[in-house]
Amino acid sequence: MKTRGNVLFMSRRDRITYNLLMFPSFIILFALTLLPLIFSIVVSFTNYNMIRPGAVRFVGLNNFVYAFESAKFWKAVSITLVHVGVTVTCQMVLGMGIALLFSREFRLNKMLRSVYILPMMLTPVVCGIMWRMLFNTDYGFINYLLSLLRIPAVNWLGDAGTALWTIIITDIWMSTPFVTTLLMAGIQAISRDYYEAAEIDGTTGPQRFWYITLPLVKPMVFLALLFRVMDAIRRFDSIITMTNGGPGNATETLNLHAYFQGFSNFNIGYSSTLSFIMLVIIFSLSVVLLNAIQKAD
Amino acid sequence: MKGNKQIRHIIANAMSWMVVLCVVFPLLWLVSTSLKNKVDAFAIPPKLWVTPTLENYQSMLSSQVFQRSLWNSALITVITVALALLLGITAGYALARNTSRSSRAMGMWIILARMVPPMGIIIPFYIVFSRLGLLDHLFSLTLIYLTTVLPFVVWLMMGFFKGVPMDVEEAAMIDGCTRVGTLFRIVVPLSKPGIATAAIFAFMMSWNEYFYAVIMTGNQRITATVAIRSLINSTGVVWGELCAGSLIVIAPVLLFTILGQRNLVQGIMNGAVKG
Repeated sequence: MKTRGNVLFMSRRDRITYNLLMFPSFIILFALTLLPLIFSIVVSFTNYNMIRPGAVRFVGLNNFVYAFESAKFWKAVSITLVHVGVTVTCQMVLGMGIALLFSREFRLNKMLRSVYILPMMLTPVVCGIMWRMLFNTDYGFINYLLSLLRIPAVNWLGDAGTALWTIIITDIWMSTPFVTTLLMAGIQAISRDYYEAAEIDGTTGPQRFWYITLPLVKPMVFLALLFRVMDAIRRFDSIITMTNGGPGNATETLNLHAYFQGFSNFNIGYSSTLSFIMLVIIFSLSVVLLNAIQKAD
Repeated sequence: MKGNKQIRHIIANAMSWMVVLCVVFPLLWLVSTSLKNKVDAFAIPPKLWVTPTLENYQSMLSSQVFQRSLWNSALITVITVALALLLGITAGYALARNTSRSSRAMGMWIILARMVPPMGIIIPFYIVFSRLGLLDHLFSLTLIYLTTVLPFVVWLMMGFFKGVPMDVEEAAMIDGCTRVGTLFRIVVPLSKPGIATAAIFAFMMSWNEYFYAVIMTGNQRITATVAIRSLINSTGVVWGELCAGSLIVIAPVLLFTILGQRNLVQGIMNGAVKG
């Protein structure tokens, strides 16, 4: 009654106040995100190059055609797909497992939980430095562990076959706590009654997980997916710190590819085209996931 | 049956400790390397325990560039957090209380702004601010930081304000308080934990930022993340100093996370459940 009453009697004056309160944020974000986006989309149809800024003209779809015919572009796309796909899948599985572990009541679980969320708060550049050191060929800790098992040293960051995996492991380390936190929120909101009733019916643990926990935390799973996919696509700091896109371009994701085109080669037009393609991918993915969230709710 | 359950409990506990160990170990390694002298840092096999030395910290803290970068980061962060809180609290409150359709649309846009990839907006920013001569300037960096920090603060505050019971506000309004007066006299004091959480997240986001900073800053307003990353170069890496510098950079984040940890988790949960 209370909330509904408030909606019914929300006065004109209240509505004006609310809009005024919201307006500054709305205007600032409108001016700082939507306008630049539109500008960026326009630039993506030009041949703008910072080295010769005078000679800008529209080139139609040339940049897009160039991108779709460029082997480098498709390589960047496939690197992004592997990076995002593997990272997010591992994070969801690990995140769910750890959320189940930490949702139990046990001694010290509050303390463990608080230590556990540290990586998601830490500076990504520093995480990159830390893992770069651990993966170092000559004096890194990971090769030291391998040497104890009599496995020869691996040039993790310098080998095109392994570099992407170091990036993926670092990303998993950094962001799994975020997934866990969201999923734990979902798990803790489930009423204990369901589990008690299921236990009386003689179900097994995995059955309870599959038929009670999973369906009820589904909205949270999709929400975590949404956040993680978005963040993984635009992951920048830790990759730049660990491999700088190399060796060669073995870890050059679409985001880094666009960055290098714009700020190393000064191909502003083409860089905007790549950003625009990325934006379209992000936008369609978020529409799909937001729909899934609404359906699951 | 009961013994079985106990064994499972022990295994689960052991796994929990393993998880935390995986999280903590890289950090401990960072601390230990920062305390090693140059010889120990390159020792093979790696040494876990050494007689600690503070020389890495001394040499980092005496570096002019690093000092300046820390000061710049602090300045930019404080300004961004203050602005994001002021704007975010008012907008979050309006979004939590106003249920009309137009407000929902505006709210949706504020939150969708978080989805915008930084690469998609940095080029116009760069072009416009270089024309205005505002590259390497506090103003431009603060503005662009708001694009990531503000949507998140609005989202968090909305979650918190939805949890504040409306009766209190109605009582205040019957006593003659205006809507805005109620917000600042009644609702804000009641939401102190929520505001603290939003402040910590805003702090973390702008302090940790690297992408915009590396493009938009130069010598004058270089931030701590850019300064620390620039220590890795082709001439070789001085790991001890790099680790000491890294720890100095993450020290405030660690401090705030530990101080506010319970609220942080609650904050994300609130935003997720009620947003």
